[in-house]
Amino acid sequence: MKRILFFLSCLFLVACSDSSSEPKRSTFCADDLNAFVDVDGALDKDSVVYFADTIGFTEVMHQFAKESKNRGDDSSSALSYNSFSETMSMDVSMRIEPSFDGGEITLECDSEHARPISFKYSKFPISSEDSLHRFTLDYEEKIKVNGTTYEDILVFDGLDGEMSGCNLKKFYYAANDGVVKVVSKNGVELNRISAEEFEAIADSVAQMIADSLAKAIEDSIAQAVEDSIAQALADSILAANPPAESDGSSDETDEKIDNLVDCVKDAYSSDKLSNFAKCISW
Amino acid sequence: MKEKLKFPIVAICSLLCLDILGCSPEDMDEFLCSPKVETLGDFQKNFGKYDSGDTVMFEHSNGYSFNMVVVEDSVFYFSPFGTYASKFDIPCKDADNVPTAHQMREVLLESDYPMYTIQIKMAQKDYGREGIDITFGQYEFTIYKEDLERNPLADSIGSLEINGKKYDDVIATKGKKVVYGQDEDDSVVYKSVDSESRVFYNKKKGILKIELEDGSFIAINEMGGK
Repeated sequence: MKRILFFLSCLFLVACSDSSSEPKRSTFCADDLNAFVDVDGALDKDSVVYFADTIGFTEVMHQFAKESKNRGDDSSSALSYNSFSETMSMDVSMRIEPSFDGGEITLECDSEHARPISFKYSKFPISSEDSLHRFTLDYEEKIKVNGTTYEDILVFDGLDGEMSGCNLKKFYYAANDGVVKVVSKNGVELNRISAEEFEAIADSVAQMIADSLAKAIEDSIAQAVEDSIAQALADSILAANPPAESDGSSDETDEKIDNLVDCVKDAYSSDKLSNFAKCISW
Repeated sequence: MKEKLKFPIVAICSLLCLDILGCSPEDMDEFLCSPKVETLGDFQKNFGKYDSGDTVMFEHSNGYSFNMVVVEDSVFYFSPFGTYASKFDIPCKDADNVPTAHQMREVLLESDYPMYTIQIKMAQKDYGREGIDITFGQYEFTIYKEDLERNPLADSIGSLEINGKKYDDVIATKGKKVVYGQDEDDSVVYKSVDSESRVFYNKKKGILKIELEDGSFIAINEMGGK
């Protein structure tokens, strides 16, 4: 009996051992969730992070983290996380509250009508309390995104994506870095990139837009010149062959003149001299 | 004759209410008046003619084509007592103090990828200005029935060709951008700031193009698609 008790004590100590002397840690083993509350590094204050896919889209996300006391338990801390994306609907709000019996994670996706999704934690993976939809939260020790390794990852999966009120299928949240990857409902991945990579992409896009605009202006000017020359040619033909009074009423004459101008424009566009002959015989 | 019938009718209705519906005497007061309802204007009701289930094709400035689906187009009524789907459900408890309910409309367009959402909200208020609020990510736009006359942020574009199709009577209105920060308690705070973003629209087709400050845009694409 003593040996069994000793063995169980060892298991307990090994499972929950931690070299940190943080007084905030709960006495019961809830290491998984505490890892997400004791934030470090980039998530310690507000930050701007960037994402890119392989199609040509980028996204800017502002994220904020705040540590506070657990509701109803001053001895432990909770984390509130909020992220806001500039164009895409991939905002995430999350509150992580470790407790002596595991804890709770509540999150909301970006949707006008989204309801909070609650997860009661005992061990991963966990399913949400919502009986209408199927969501899961799982844990991965590490994940590699765009060449960078992130640790302590929460993986949200909206298995029932169509009905969820979340306009995304999955996101990966790293304890010390926030959201590092998002997967859309149709499987496109947006991966975290550095500020430098984002600037390079943004410069490339800006150049592409500028080139496109310049081309449009150039084409517009070319078209205007073409129209102007065609009009001048038509005017010359009219001057050389003025309409006679017997050619019809004033309206009919105006119509013929309009037709001549159009004919000259079409001939000019066709780059064929022979087409001009058709206009002269108007 | 009508006056003679009034008492029996009220008495019968009261009995039905008590017997069938189990109403209390207080509940019966709710049926003694009708709330005033401020309805949406024609500009608001007909903007874009979006219907639930409709698919609107767009193209991004990077050349990527995608569909946005109208996942919601709902009309409802907001009163001091709450929100109701039908104006006939709005309670009216005091005949001497008739509440005013506002008709509201919300349209929501979503795309799978890019993960865009366009929210269009409107309510009948503001003394007939018939405002429509449009939200795209952190960008917000407000357009009005008489934008060119009343809104200094609006410009007349006239005719505009977008992805091979010509649109008339196009108006472009500048928007605002929501920026986020933290206060001294680390709580998230936000405010709207002026932005060079613009929404292009006409009354018939609704939103034609949304252009952001960096020059990128999404534009309606009726002539093509994926």
